[in-house]
Amino acid sequence: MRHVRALRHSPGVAMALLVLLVWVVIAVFWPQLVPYGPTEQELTSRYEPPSAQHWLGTDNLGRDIFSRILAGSRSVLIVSVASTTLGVAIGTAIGLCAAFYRGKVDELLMRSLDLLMAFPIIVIASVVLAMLGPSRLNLVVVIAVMLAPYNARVVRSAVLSWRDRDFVAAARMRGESGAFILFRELLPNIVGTLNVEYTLRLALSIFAVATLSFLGFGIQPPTPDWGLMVSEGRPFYQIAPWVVVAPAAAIASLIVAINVVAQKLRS
Amino acid sequence: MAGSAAPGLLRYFAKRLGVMLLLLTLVSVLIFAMVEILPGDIGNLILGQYATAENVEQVRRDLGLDRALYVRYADWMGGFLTGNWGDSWRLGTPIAPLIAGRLYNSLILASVAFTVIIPVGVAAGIASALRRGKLTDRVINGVSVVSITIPEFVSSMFLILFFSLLLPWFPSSARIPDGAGPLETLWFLVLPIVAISPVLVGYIARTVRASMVTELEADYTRTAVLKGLGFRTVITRHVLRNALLPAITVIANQIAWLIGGLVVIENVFNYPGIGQLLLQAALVQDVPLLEAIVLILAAVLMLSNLAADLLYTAFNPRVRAQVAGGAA
Repeated sequence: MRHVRALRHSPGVAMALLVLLVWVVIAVFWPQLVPYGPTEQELTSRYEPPSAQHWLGTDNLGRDIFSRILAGSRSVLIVSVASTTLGVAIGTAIGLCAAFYRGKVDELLMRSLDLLMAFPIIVIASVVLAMLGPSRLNLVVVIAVMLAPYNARVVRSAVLSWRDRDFVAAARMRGESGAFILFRELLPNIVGTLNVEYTLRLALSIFAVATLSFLGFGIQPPTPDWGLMVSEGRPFYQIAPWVVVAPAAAIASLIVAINVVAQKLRS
Repeated sequence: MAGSAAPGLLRYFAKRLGVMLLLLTLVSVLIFAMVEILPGDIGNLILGQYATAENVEQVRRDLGLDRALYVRYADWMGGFLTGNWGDSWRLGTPIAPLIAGRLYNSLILASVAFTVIIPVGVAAGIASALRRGKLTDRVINGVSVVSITIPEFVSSMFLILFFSLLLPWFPSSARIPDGAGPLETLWFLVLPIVAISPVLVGYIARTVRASMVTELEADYTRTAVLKGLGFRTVITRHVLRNALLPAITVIANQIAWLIGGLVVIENVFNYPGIGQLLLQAALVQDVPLLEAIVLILAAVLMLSNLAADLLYTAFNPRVRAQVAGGAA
């Protein structure tokens, strides 16, 4: 109840949460919600502007944009949530180890992460995806590897402030293993930090997923995907701007919403 | 003082340069190894999946892929250092001049972008720090939160919609016609620059604001005000000098981001830069071209970070003294 009342004082955050909720509901239930099949072509009605039949118009193959937008929400959410979860898990493990063992382990881990962070994600993605081919799974792994270093740094500094406390010393005296102390003693103390981290990384992940799909590194046609829809519609932008504007607006709404929530959580 | 500082500084940067070369070597091994380890046979890549085994073998021999891994690395690296970067598999033309031309184009785009981004970001940060909590601050903060988050390709689409399709003010493609003068070139670059700027402007503005606020609350600022200095003098002579230093580091850190943004923007606006070449090389799996581009981008990135460190040291007397004293 306290949280609900707090929301009334920040209408922006309430709006953002609502937008996120709507997209999640759509991502789950789109098969029941779409008026047309998202890959269903109707070549007699290509490039139709928004109308009563086609709320957001049709594309170059006569597919219903509204249905494709609804269906496309699933791919962006699945890929970004999966990559964030994987990235935060890897990052947390690295951060915990670096902070707990210090010394050479810490030095080695942190320097390798610096090297990784020095590269633009698109460059790394280009190499990996050129060799492995574009797919949803590859996209998840690449983005997770990109997110992990940022997360590891934050977790490391959070753990550093806990590792010299008495309860850690007590656990050592009891003869607990390193893994036990890491995951049962230290990890619970940084859950709050991790929640904020997860939201921030999710926002970054959606950014990366959209951009890499737009560049052709993710899901391949004809599967509906927002980033892909923008790049597919680009050649016809002049004659049918709605083909591009609708998915671009969908991406913008999702990204702004998650960032508003992330900023709120951080402060 | 300056005379005694010089050897220490020189030693510091010689050391940094050495570390950089070491890292570049490491990166080159990584790039080479990654391409080798990842599955996907190169002979098949070139000839397609229906090629006969003999043909694939022939291609592998022609490319020298049947030799040992370390021999090929030495060969590749040796060629790279002597300026012989080999030929692109798909285009069949030498890689070095191809990359040089594209890199030059990208540097033009990047330097025009930075000359817009840095002053705007710094000015927005200063304005917002000076009007803390007031409307200006809140508007700048709101705009920068939103602008940091929107992917460049999305904002490009809206920019093209409004300023190229609805209002035919700017071209929607940045493919500059041959023989265009500097002004006409700029004309073609307006939309790409405006599209790539918001994210970086937002970051710089937020950093400058944060460090300005810290310095404004510092004791020395109060002392300066209390001893009767004018507002303008306090800000320009005392606060700004300290507040702008962190911005240098942030700007340097954003170079990686700028390169990422360039790849997107060049592809959206069809600009013949290195980012467009990178994506093309990746999509058609032109391995030697891809390797060369990634290595060159790594070198550019490390050099610009080194340059930023140099600037930071030059502007910050505390760091300068520390480096000269051998503490670093």
